[in-house]
Amino acid sequence: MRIVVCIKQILDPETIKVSRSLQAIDERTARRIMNPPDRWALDTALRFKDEDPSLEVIAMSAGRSEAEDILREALALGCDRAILLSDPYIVNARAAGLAMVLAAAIKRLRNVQLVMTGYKALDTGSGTLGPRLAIELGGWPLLMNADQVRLESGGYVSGLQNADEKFYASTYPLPCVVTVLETPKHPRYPHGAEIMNAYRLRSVEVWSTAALGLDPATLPAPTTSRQMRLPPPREFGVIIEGSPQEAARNLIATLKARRII
Amino acid sequence: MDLSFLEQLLGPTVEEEEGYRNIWVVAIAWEPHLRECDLQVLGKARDLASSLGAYVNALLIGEGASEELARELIAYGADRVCWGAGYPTGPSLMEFVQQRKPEILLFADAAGGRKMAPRLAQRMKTALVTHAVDVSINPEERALVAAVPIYNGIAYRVVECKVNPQIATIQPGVFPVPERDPWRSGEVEEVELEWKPQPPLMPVEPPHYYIPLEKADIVITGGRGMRDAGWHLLEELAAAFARKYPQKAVAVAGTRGAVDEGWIDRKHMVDITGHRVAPTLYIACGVRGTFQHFAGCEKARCIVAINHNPDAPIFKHADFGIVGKVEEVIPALIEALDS
Repeated sequence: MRIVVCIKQILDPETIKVSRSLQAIDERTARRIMNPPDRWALDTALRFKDEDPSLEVIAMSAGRSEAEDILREALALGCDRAILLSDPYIVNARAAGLAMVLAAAIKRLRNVQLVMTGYKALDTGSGTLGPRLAIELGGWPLLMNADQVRLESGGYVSGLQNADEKFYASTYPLPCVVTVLETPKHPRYPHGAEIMNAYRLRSVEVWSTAALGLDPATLPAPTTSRQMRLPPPREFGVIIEGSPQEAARNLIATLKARRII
Repeated sequence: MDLSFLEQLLGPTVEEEEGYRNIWVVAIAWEPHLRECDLQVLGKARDLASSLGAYVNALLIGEGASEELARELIAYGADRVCWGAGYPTGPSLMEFVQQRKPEILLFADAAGGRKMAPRLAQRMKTALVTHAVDVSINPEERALVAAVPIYNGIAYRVVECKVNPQIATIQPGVFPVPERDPWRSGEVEEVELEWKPQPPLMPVEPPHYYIPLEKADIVITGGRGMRDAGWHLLEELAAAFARKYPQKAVAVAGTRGAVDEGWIDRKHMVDITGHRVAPTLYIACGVRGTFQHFAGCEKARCIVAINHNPDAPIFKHADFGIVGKVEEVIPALIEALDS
């Protein structure tokens, strides 16, 4: 049985800056990292592999050629194969098109029973890849925003689904698409030697739309991005003066007067 | 009377084809009452409809749906409500949308819509914007224009839809609940879709490490500046608030710095990559105020900052600031609360 984990390369939100004068996000100093929720998905899949070494875990990413780095990292973590879907059409594809490309690649790999991904990408934060893939793969069941995902015997996958801050225990038959929530256990990070091996000894397969047999003209692009907007800055507040005791009493009184507490 | 001159004046009459028109809202009733977030979406749909000259229709689904609730939706601003008790299968929902041809289809960004909207959009290969915080209409193209947060809300991307039906999910709590007008009239119609057998929901206790910081009314956050004061002071301040206001949910959180120092678990982190809180009162103690941290707390109604450094950037964002040592100010606050 094969498990495909879809991972995305994003700009590390901790390293981006906001430029108010340009009304844009300053990406020049930003690092590119593996989307943290996708790392959880990868970690979950690799834990399944720890229990059952016959499983084959395949990391897949669609987008620019720079994404090769996170695929090498996935190889270093213990994935069996890494596949990069990249060509100019894929780089410019929008969410609906990307789901079609990823689904075409998953269909091309035979015997994939489980597709996993993070519950959202921290950059765009839309969290729609899971549901979109479920449709593109032909209506697979969808375990969405799940915690404590487990492979059950008899071809089932179970987990706790989070919906509106409540958790529900759910079980779905394989094949299934799972989007994974973050859990407090630390995900694994690769060993330095493994990273070197991933660059020196392993290879990342690169597939294009032509190789997948997709006509790039059919990739839908139903929305256009216009501009970026920054929220207005918060207004300056007041500094409450005085000794700590006075200031504390004043603060509580003001908060009460404004009906905040 | 010969009115043919009118024809010349107006030009040849255009045969209007049956196109996509009207705004539809999908409301979901798991239990026999309406959700507030659906009503908020309905209110916004009413606004959009007036700029498009369109009707607002609603599809009410879910096990709790009933004719009574459908009438209630009319009172809140819908012109026509189709309802059916159950949860439709994907293909039958798509068929319904293809039949009714909504120009714009809105969901609340909550349970149900989050799963349904992307699947419907992918099935129809149509336009979808998710988590919209603001929506408007581009009147020339009759296109939905939506602002969606990126990087946890430090910026918004403006997205325009190009393909009908234009589907959007709207964040709860952004728009007000419209006024209820019991005298409004409208049509109610029961529809028969193909219902999906729903397995019984099995609610479970949230995992112990799951902290609903987003739901807290008062959030007290500590940063690296708590080094000398000790983290226990924050817990004591939280306890003092909880004593004084037992009906409010009080939570303690940390910045990335505090998490790195190991004073609090990462699950409690308010940050661009952590929780994004929206309490009524947010108290930042010993927090310098990087913009990554601010992205996590800017939704708070009132921000109070306590820091010994008067030049700390947090004071630019705070509504109230106290310049002083945390180890002096926090005990004073506890005293003021208890007196």
